[in-house]
Amino acid sequence: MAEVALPFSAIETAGRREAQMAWLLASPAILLMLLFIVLPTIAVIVLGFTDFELGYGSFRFVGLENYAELISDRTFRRSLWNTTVYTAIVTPVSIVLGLGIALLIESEPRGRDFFRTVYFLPVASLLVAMATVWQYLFHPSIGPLNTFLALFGIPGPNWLGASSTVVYGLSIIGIWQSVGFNMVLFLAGLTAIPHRALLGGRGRRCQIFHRPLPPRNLADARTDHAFRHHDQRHQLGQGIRDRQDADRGWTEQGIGNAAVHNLSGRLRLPPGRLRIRDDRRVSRHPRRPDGPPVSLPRPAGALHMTQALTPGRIFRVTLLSLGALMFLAPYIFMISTAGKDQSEIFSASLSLIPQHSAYVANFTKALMRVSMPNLLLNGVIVCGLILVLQVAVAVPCAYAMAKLKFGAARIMMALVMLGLLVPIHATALPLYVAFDNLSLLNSYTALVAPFSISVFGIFLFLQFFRAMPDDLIHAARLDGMSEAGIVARVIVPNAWPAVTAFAIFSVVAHWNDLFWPLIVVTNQSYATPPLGLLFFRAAEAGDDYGALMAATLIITLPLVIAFLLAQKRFVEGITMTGLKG
Amino acid sequence: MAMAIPAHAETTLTVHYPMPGFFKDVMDTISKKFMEENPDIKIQFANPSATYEEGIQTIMRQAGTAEMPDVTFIGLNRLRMLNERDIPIDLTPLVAKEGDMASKGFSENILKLAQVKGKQVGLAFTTSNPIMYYNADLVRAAGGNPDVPPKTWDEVIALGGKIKALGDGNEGIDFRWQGDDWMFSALLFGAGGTMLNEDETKVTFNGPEGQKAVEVLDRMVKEGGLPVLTKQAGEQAFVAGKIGFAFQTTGALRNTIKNVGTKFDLRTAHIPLIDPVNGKLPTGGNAVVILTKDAEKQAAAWKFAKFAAGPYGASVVVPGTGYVPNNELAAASPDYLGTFYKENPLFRAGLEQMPLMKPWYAFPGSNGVKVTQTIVENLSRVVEQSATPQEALDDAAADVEDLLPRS
Repeated sequence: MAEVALPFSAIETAGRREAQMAWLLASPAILLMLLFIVLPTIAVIVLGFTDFELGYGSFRFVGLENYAELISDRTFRRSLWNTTVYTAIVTPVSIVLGLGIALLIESEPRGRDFFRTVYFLPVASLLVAMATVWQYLFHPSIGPLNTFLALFGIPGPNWLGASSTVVYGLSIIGIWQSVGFNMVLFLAGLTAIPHRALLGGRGRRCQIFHRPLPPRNLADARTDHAFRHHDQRHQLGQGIRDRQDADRGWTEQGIGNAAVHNLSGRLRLPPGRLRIRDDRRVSRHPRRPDGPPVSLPRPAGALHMTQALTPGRIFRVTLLSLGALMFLAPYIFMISTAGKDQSEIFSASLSLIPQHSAYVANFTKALMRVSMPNLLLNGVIVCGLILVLQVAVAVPCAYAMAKLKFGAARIMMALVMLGLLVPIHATALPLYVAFDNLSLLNSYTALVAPFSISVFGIFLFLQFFRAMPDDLIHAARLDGMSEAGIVARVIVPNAWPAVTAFAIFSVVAHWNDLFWPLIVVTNQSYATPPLGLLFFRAAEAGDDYGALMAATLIITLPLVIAFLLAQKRFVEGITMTGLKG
Repeated sequence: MAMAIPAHAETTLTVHYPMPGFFKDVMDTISKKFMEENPDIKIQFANPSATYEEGIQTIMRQAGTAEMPDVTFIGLNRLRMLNERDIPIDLTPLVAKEGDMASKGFSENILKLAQVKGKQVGLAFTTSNPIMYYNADLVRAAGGNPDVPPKTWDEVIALGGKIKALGDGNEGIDFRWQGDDWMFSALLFGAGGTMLNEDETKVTFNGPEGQKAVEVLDRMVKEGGLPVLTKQAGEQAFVAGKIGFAFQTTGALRNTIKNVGTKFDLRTAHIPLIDPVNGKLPTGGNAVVILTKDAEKQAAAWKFAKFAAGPYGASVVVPGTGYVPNNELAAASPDYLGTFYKENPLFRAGLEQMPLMKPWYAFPGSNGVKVTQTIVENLSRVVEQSATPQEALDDAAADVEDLLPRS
C-alpha cells in the first residue's frame, strides 16, 4: 500500500471496494462449487442413510444399514484392499521412475524431444483403448510378454487371470501410464535448477538433494536468462538481493520506479520472452562479483553436459532406449495387429510383420464402422468448452483469493480443498438424477457443466498468483487502472504460462474420460472418443481385432500430435507455475 | 432408399440392444429390411451395451426418463427383473389380437420363452444353448478320434488332460464360467438340478446336483487342463489353436469360425450331460421388449418386434451368429434356413440340442445381477483352487440367500 496517511474512511472504502471486486470475481466459482460439488456431496451423504434406488420414486431413511452391509461385504473389503495395494505400488514406483527417466533425459543432450514424447505417449493415450492392447500383451499363453519370457525359459505368470498376480499386472499398466506425467514434472524442475548451484560447484547429486524447491528459484532461473540482455555483474548482484527478498518469485529489477514506466512496456512483452529458453544454445558467462568471467560448463539443466562418448553416457543412452522400447511396445503391437487380418491375429507364434497386409481393409473398416470425424469433433468441442469455462472461472477466483482481501477467502480455501478430495465418481448419482429431471441428458451441457468448475485449476492459479509480486498490481492501481482492467491487462497475460500448463492437465483428463460420458450419453451423435471406442470395442469383441486396433490408432493420434507440438510449452509452463518437484 | 411421401408423419423408434459383438451386423440388416418394407417407420439405434448385464442395468437406469429407448432386447433371464418394475408393456393383448401367431412360426413353446408368470413380456429374438467346440488336430494328437467326440464329462476330462500333457503351451479345456451363471446352470441343469426351490425361498443349487456340477468343474481344473483365464483370453487361446475343448454358447460360433480361419480343424458337438436321462440345458439369448407407452410408437414397435423375431429375423440371426432359430417356420422352410443347416454342419450341434432347452433361470427380486455375480465369484475360487468345491458352493448359497427378497 502507498505510504500516505489516508483518512480512515477512505481506507475503508477502498477496502470495501476491493472486497466487492473480490466477491464479483469469485462468485461464478462459488456458485459452481456449490452447485456441482457441495450440494451433490451433501446429497450423497444424506442418500447414504436411505434406501434410495434409481427408478423407484420414494425412499425411506434406514440409518446405518447401508454402511453395515458395505463393511460386511466381502467384495467391498477385497476391492478396498486391492486399491490400497495398487496405489502403494504405482505411486512410489512411478515417481521414482519418473525422476530417474527425467534425470537420464536431462543428462543426454541428444534426442530429448524423442524421449520426452515416447515416455509421455501413454499419458496422452486413451486408456480404454490401450487396455485392449495390454490384455493381449498379457495373455498367459499366446501373449508377447510370456512368449518373450519363454525364450529365456521363464514361465510367465497368468498376469491378468490369476488373482494372485492380477494386481501386479494392473500395476504395471498403471505405472506405464503415469510415469510420463511425473517425468515431465521432474523435467521442469530440473530445467529450473538454479545456476547458482552450478556456480557453487556442487556435484550433481548435491544438486538433486539440495534443490530449493519453492517457486522462488523461478526468480533465479529467469534472472539468469535476463543476463543476456543486461549487464551481467550488476544483475547477478541484483539477483542475489532478489533472492534475499523473501516472498517474491519474480525479478523485481527496481520495480518501484520501473513499474510505473515499464509497466506498459512489460505488458506488451510477449510471454515468450519471459519463458525459460532451453539454454543449450545460450553461451553463458556470468561473472563473479570480483573476478573474470567464469566459463561454466555448458548447461543442460545444470547437469552433465559433455558430448564425449563415455561409458557412462553409453550406459545412460542404452537405459533410455531400452525403456523407450518397453514404453513403445504396446504401440508396436497395435500397429502390427492393425495390419493383420482376423484369422492371423491370434496365433501361437509371435510375428510382428503381418503375412498379408490388411492395413487398408482394417483402417477402412474402422473409419466406416465408427463415425470418427464425429467422435473427434465431439472430443474437441467438449474438451474445448470445458477448458474455456474452467479458465474463465478459475483465473478471476484465484486472483481474488490470492491478491484481494475479502471475508470468504478462508472458506473458499476450505471449499477448494474439499473439491480436490471429491471426485466426479462420488457425486455422479445426484448429478445424473438432476440432469435427468431437467431433461439435459444427451447434450453438451451434461457433458461439460459438472467440469466447468475446476478446483485443481483454482489451486494451480492460486499458487501462481501468490508468487506474483504485489507491487505489479499496486503499480497498476497507481497507474489508474480499474480492478477489471487489472484482471484483464495485468493478470491474464501474465497467467499465460500457468494457463498453458493447466490446459494440458485438463485436456488430457477430459479427452480420456470415459466414466461421465458413459453415464450421461446414450445417443451416439454425442459420443466422445472413449465412448465411441468402447462401443467399437464391444462391437468388434469377437470379431475383428485388427479393425479395433486400427480404430484405436486413429483415436489416439490427435492427442499425441497435440503433445508433440505443445511439449516444449508444457514443460516451460509447468516451470512457470512453480509446480515442480 | 427411395421413399414415397408418407401418408402420415414418420414414426421414429429408438432401439437399444446388447452385445454388439454378436448383433451389430444382424441389427443393421434387419432394420434396413424393415425400413424398406415399412417406409413410414424409422429405426435409430441407441448406444448398445456390451453385455446382457450392462444392458439391463442401462434400461433400469433409464426407465421412465426421456432417455428410455422405445424398444430394447433383454437377456432372457432378466425379463423377470424388468417386469417386476413394470417397465415393459404387456404384449398379451397384442398377441391375442394377432390371432394366429403359430402360423408365423411363433409356437406356444417359443412364446413361453419370453413369458413371466403368464404375461407375455417380450418375443424371443435369439436363443442359444451351450455346445462343445473342439480342436480336431489336438484331439488327434492326444490319441483321440475327432470323428467320435466324447459323450461324457469323464471322457472330456481325460482327453483334456492328455492334450495338456502334449506340452508346448497347450491346455485342455476352456469352460466359460466367467460373466454369468449360464454355464454353471449348464452343469446344474445337466445334472437335473434347479437353482431355487419351488416357491423360490430357498437355494437348492448347493444340493447333490450342484455338488456334482462343481466337482466336474474342479476336476476340469485338476485333471482336465483348465487354466485360469479371462473370457477374452480363453477365446483367443482357443482360436489360436492352443486349447483342446471350449464350452460356451453356440451364439459365438460364427465369430469363432472367422477367428480360427484355417489354423486348425474346428468341430462342434453336443455338450455332455451329467445326467444323460433327465438332464436339461439352459436357454441363452434375448427377447425383444417394447418399452414405449406412446400408442402410435407402440403400434410401430409391435410391427418391428414381430419382424425381428419372425422368420426373416431368424434367417439373418442364425447364419450371422450361431444362435438357434427361435422360429419354427424359419428352421424348416427352405426359404429361410432349410438348406443352411445342410451346408453348415458346425451349426447343427446347437440345433439338435433344442429339445433339451429349458428357460434360463431368473432370480426373483431386484438383485438379479448381484446374485449371478456372486455365483461367478465363488466359481472363480474353485477355478483358482483357493477353495474346495463344497466350500465355494456353500458360500455362494449363503450369499445368494441374503440377496433374495425377504418374504
